[in-house]
Amino acid sequence: MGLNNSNMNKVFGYSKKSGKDWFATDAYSDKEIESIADPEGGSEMSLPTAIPSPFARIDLVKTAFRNIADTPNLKAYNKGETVVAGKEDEKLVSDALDVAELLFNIDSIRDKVKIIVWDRSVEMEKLRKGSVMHRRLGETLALYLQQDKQSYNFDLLQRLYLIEYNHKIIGCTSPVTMFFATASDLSHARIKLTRNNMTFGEQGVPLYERDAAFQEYLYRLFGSNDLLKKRLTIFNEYLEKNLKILDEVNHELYRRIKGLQATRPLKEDYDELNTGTIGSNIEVLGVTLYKRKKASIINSITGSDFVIRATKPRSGLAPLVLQNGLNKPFRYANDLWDNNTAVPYEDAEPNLEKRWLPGIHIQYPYLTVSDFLEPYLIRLVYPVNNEKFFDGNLVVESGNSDKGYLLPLKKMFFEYFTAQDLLSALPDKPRIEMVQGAAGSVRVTLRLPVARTGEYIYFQRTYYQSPENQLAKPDPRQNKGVIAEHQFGVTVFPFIKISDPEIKPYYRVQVVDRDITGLFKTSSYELDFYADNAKDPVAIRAKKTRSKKNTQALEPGSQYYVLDDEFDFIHVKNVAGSGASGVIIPMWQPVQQGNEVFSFSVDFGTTNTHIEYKTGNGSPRPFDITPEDMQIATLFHPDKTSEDFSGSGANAIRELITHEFVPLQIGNNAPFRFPHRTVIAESFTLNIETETFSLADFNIPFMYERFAERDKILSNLKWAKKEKGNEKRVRAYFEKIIMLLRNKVLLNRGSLSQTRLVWFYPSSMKPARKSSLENTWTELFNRYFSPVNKPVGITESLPPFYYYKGSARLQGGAYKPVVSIDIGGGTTDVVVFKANKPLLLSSFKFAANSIFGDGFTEFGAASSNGIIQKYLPYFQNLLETNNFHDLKEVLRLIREKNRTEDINAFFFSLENNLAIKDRTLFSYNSILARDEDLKIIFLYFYTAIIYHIAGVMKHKGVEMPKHIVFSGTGSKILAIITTDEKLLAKLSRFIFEEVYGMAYDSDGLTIETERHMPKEVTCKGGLMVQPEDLAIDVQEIRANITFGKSTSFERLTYDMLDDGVLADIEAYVAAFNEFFLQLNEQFSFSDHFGISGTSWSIFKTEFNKHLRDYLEEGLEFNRKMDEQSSDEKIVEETLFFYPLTGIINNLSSHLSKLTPVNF
Amino acid sequence: MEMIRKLVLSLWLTAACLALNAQVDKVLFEKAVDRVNCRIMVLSLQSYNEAKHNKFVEACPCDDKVTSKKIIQTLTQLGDLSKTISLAEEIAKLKERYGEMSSMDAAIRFVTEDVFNNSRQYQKIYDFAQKHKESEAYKACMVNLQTEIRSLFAGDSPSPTEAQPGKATERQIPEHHVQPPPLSVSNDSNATVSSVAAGISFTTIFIAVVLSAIAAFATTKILLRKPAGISKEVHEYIEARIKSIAPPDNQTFKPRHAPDIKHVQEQVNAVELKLQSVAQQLSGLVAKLEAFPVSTPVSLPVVEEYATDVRTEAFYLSTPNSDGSFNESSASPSYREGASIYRFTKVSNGRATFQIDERESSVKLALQYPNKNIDPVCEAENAYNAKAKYINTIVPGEAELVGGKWVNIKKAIIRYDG
Repeated sequence: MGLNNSNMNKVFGYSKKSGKDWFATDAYSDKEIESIADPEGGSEMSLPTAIPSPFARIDLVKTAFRNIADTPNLKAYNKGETVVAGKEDEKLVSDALDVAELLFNIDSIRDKVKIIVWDRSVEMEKLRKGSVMHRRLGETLALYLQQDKQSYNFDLLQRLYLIEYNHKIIGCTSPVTMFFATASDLSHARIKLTRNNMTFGEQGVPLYERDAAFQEYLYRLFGSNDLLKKRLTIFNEYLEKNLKILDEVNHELYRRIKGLQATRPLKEDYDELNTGTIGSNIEVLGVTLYKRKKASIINSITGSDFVIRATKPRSGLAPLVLQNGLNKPFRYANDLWDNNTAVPYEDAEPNLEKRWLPGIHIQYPYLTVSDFLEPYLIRLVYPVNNEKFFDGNLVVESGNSDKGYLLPLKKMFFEYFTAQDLLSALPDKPRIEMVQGAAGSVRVTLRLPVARTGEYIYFQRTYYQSPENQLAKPDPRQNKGVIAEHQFGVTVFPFIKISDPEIKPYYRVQVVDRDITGLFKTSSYELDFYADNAKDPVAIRAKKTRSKKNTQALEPGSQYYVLDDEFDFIHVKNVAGSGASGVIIPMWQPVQQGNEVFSFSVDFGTTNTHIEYKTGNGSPRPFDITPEDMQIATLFHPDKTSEDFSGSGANAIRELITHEFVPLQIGNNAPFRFPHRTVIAESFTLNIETETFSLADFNIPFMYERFAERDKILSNLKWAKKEKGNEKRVRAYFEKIIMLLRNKVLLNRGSLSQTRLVWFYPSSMKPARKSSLENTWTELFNRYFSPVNKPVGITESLPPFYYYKGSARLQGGAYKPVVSIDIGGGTTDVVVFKANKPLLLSSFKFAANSIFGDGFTEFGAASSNGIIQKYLPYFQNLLETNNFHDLKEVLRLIREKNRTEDINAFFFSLENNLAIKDRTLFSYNSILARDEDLKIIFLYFYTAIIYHIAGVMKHKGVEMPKHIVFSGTGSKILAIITTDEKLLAKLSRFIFEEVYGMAYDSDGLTIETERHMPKEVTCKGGLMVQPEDLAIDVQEIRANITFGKSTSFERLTYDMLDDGVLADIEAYVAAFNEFFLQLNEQFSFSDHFGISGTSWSIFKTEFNKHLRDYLEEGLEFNRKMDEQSSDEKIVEETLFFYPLTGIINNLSSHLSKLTPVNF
Repeated sequence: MEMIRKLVLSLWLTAACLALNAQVDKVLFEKAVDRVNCRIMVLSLQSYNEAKHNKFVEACPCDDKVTSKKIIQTLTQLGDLSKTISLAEEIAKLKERYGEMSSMDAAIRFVTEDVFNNSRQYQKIYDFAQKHKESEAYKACMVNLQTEIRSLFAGDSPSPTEAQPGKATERQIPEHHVQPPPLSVSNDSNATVSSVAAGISFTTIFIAVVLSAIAAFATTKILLRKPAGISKEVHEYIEARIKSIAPPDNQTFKPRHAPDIKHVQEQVNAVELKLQSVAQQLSGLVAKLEAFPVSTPVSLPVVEEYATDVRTEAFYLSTPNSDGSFNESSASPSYREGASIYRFTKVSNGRATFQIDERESSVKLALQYPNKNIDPVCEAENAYNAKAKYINTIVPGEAELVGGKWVNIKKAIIRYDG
């Protein structure tokens, strides 16, 4: 029944029938219902929630699917004024599909999803057996299930599966539409899976706009199960409509779906969807549902454009590299990248495998800014030495360029890339750039190559300056970094990387910690060294603290790393301070061994050590380190770093290199050069009994005598009593030299194995001591060079002759005897050559230190030494007047040790100090040459040596020499006596003639000296002959004769030294003194050498005093020094000079008082 | 009373320090650029063409009214000066860098030094500097420019009425204590940057002015010997001032251009940190002042002493160069333990006296490497003593600012003691 009035029809009816007044109607069909106009025009989104049926939601969604399936594009649609499908339909369908898709991707959200099973038979039974109310509910439910079984497929319904997300029900399976979502607010479940749109978003998303894999799955599911097609007809209609649309909008997918094989088991491509318990599968109408295979998600992502293009091989999944705000059509997981996806700058999950991809919620490793960039940027107080170390492509857009930065790279970066990659300018390599901008901020950009060809991902972080005296906290989540300024230096020795497994590397890395005030004063630095081809850091053989940081005294600390492996980058961490870390990448220059043959000769002298080298058959030259073959590399730029280290005052970073490590340059144009004082430096706190390393615990202090020393400096290494640690010190001294030589070879394309080494020893050295030195040289040379030729040790008395001979200085040849006299600091070595062969050799401890040393005093006696008393105030005043405060401080420190030879050596060194311009003013040699009072000592010293040599030669039946050649630092004494070599020759000739009792022939006697480089002569000579030719057994030609007044002793043992023998020796010395007196009468010392009358008078008074005492003292002193215990032991040298040493010492204290120095 | 005295001292110091660290405002910065432009043009023409030089000087004197626009116009009228004009244009463009100037010193350094050494960004200016750097006229010009611009920033600046129409706000803010310009939404990124920076500048200057006023007010109170009620009055005064300048609550800043805003944010972050730094320095100064032993209740001379110290611009430097100069860029307005060795006192523009600071840490530092730290700029009247506890400066040294370096013109005479 119905109104047949058209007006009433309009008012009450939606029959669309045109009957008038009352007319017959039946129940509204779907058509009628569709024709009812929506008063909201289909835009209403508030979904009905109170339909009186337990399955109302199922029905609502079913209707929505039906309505939507009628639309042309499966979206809300109005046909004229008629709403075919409203927004609510679109939303209901979309939400149902969201539930389906969510379950399809359940592995991505497994931790948040729970499936609750409602089993019809079980639950109905429970209700039936429950309370009255429950029973009634059960009965009602059963009624509905029975009544609506046709419409809703309840006949096939066994279970419903409620889906809980984040502890809230979001939907359920449906026997008519597969799934439906609840009417509750689902905004909590808005997640991105593998597509661009979000689940349960504001806007509905039709199936064809969804993930292709999901669509394929639905078609596969329905294609394999006719039951679903038959019973889920509305959903199937939706699918068919969707397929038609795909034909137009995504033909590729359309073709794929059309080509799907219904016979292919779903299990092959999908995993069964279960409730969380294996075997408890989720089904709809008894048909098992499936989910995406986890492996297929992963496979899909591995093809992402974001996959890192690492240069290092790595196992496991290659992570994606994600960049916030990337606006490029990159393929992300399954779909294109959405530039609105928020990539966290820091992911709290440290394990990449456990990370969830942002935006799509798939567990897959990815990298973000904080994985590669540090929260802190370490700023240095100097510009980085960008010729040796990578400066991170620093661009200074604002502010000064007087400060540099460490690379704020985390170690993880180097799990994917090598240090070399960063230095490469090639495409497909990572690149870092640092831009210093406004207010001291620094923007760091790290470019990373990814799978997409020619494209990169850029990690960028800006680091801000901290307030002064504060360290701001970085905020990695907001990508705000903080600059931490630290004061430290790093120096690498040697700056060589060979990359040849046959050549073992040896490194020392110095770290100077100058954080002595402020926030970081209690902190320290830890360095790790990494090679590109290994994950773990290279082994640190030792880490030694040389100077302990003393913040109270504002003194920096220094540490040394000893490494026996090559490395490609250094990771620096500030410990207990800012905690900041950074990376240093050395820019190694390729170094390869060549074929050049290097020969080195090392004269390890008492006072000075000298090294010469030659390449091939070239001329010998002093060892040098030139700008072209610098061996160290400082992290600070040596030229661009200001002297105040950008106002920080951290110049200790530079100074400690000179004091404790290796100078940048050595040689003629450098502040330091060989010959250099034979001293070694070590920390005052060094425990010598621990394992020690050269250039970590010890170094050769090239600043000695030039700058005030900071360390404990030990001299007299060559002859020092066998005390604890002395062998270690000598070894460390040799080792540093060997390291310098090795680097010289490597940096100049030399061959390590072909390198030759000659070293020298005094012939008076005891065999045990010589053997000890030989072993040390051999072991070190073998270790660092693996040489073909063994190092050759030759007595230092032989080479000078060959030098003079080789440089054609011996006029008339060397057939007649030539006497070579090498006056060193501790010993004088004499060799008589005849016909170019050594004939006779003698060595005695009567050398420069006999005048400039402490005599027979074992401990320093400078305070009572006459020469020091005379000249110390003079030089103190001279240094003060000329404002050489630092040298004055050097003198003060040397003086504290009270060793006469050290103080005198310092005086002698002054004229060669580069800081001193007026060399004449400071020339100790010249000053002494003008000292008419002291000159008698030098003449006495010289005469004694010539007298003794003449005596020995005569005794051995050797004819008088034609030439006398001098070498050794001590031969500078000759210039004090006179600069006229002819006069000296005349005097010498006179002595020989007196001793021999015969006159010279017409050839006469000449004297040759190398006034400006007497020390170098030995080394040069050693390289001018085949060293093997000189490696003779000197004992065979050794003449160790002690003359007595009545007899002479060619072999003396200590037990032979009775009173008679000693008295005879004393008498011989007195005879010599008499000879010296006579000499003056025939060869006026005053006239020829300017010796003052007063000094001569004092000499005559003092010269024969205490001779026996001095002889005994000398014996006692030398026995002690040699640790001589057995009386049967041979006395190794002539005893003639023992009394003379005492005489000289005594005389100098008298003569020094005569005339004060004229200031 | 003692508390009041401390408060006054604190406020004076605070005000003075804030003023020192204040960012230069935009109008002054642009004037500085114009002045540099003018001086460089004069120098350029002087060495090129005397007639044109004279005409230029006549038409375009380097005074407060000169603008880069006028300079370029004048050059154009003189004809045949295309290279000079492009140099002038490049200089004029320096105004765009205003937003990066963190302080007056930074601005002065930027326009008188940095740009002349930056071949990458300012090729023409750099070339000009390279060409003329050896000439005496150029050296003198550079020294004078620094002095000129410093005094321009220091207050010998034009009165508010002289400011250009339309650009009045930033310049007039300090004088009028008016509300800051609203941070309105702008499509012009540069304008946005300027606005933010101007706001910061304004804030800094305002706090300085307010604190100065409070200090003056408090001083007056002390002099009138009416101690009671000071804190309340001060409190009310601050409250009133803050209210008078506070922007309306509903005023918001909604940037539209993300990249520009990102840049601005970076700058703001940097400036925030800089402000933190200033605040830190101030709190340190106040703390030191509070710890300052006071024997008399009211000690006005102490106020005078500190005030004088600030007015004469004391600053600190570390190791001198071996040629006896100090790098001006290393100068620090406050003492830095472990770095500062010398205290400089400015006696006039471009001239200062210096001495080894008396603090123990300065002495220790100086004595560590005397050849580097002392010898280049000091003469000792007694023997060097590595263990000296004090280094007394008998006669301060004198230095002159030349080309970014304080060049020692007279060594300090020192004495090692203790």
